[in-house]
Amino acid sequence: MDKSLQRRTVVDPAVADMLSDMERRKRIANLPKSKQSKARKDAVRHKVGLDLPPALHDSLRQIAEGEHISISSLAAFFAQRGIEDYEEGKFDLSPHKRLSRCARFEYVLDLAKLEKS
Amino acid sequence: MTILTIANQKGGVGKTTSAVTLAHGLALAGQHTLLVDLDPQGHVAFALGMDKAPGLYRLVVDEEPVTSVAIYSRENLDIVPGDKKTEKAKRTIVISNFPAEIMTRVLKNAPYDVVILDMAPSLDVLHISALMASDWVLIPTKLDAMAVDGVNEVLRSMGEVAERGHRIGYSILPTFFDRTTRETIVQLKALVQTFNSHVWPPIPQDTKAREAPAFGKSLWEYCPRSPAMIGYDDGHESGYASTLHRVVEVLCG
Repeated sequence: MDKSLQRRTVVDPAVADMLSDMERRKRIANLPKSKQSKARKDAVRHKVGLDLPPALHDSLRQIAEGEHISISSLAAFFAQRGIEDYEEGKFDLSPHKRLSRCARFEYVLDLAKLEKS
Repeated sequence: MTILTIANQKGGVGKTTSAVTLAHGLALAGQHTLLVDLDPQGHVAFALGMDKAPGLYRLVVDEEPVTSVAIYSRENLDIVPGDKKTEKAKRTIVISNFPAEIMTRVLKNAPYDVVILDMAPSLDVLHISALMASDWVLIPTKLDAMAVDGVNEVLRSMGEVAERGHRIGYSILPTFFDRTTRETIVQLKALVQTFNSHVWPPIPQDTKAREAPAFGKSLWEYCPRSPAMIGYDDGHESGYASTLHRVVEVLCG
């Protein structure tokens, strides 16, 4: 099968979104009362898994501990600042790019080079 | 000129509220709009604070031109009111030549951007005639089994009209949407599974929408910030304001 083929959405996206939200609420309502609060909080969280070099993870953890905040909020803060700087053209990713051996991406960013600079 | 018909064989599903709200919304958006009441109850005029009148009778039986029958209601919005004489009009149409063509004939060259036909909750000659004249059909439905069955009936009529060579696009508008009841969710899911992208985001149940006709005001005038108009405050698209955008997209490109 041609992998570029994409299945078309036959349901109106706004209606599909609303239905999935209603389903989620129904699922939570069916949980024991003690678990509903956590399930509600989890539902609005957006969890992602990202690969971080161990040294970077350590640095984040140390700063977070020192500032008495969670690593997630610290990482979100740094990411937000980084995005703003990137969009304002304060830095360029090109010097840090090297060819990737992975078929999915053309480049990876060389963090070691960033540390040296 | 494009013609939108609001139809469902089931009564009390929000046809007139939808027709009046969308017609006034189109008018406020600058579209010169005509709203025609094909229901002998004459509630279009009532909802807009006007008197019932035999406008439809004069249009289809006396064959008066639409420009002399239409009454000014709001800026950019005229109506052809209905009353119990609409019932008599139906009986006259049945014995006329080409009854199915009558709405197409009387609305031909009407000087409007959009014409909205508010149907009665029945399947009769006016119903078929309105479908024959339509470019698009909007089918409001409550989220209960009987109203959803009414959707099927309208689609069957549209099938008959298609056999006569006139294919019409349609959308289904869930109304009286109450997100807290299990039956609402079950029926909405069933509707979406059956009709897919034809189902538009719903109109929340709203007491304000029931109050507005008592004051002769459209929802744009009486409660423009109510859930029926702008949806629930939950980030999901719903309410007549979003329906209006879709109608404009469908009718005016």
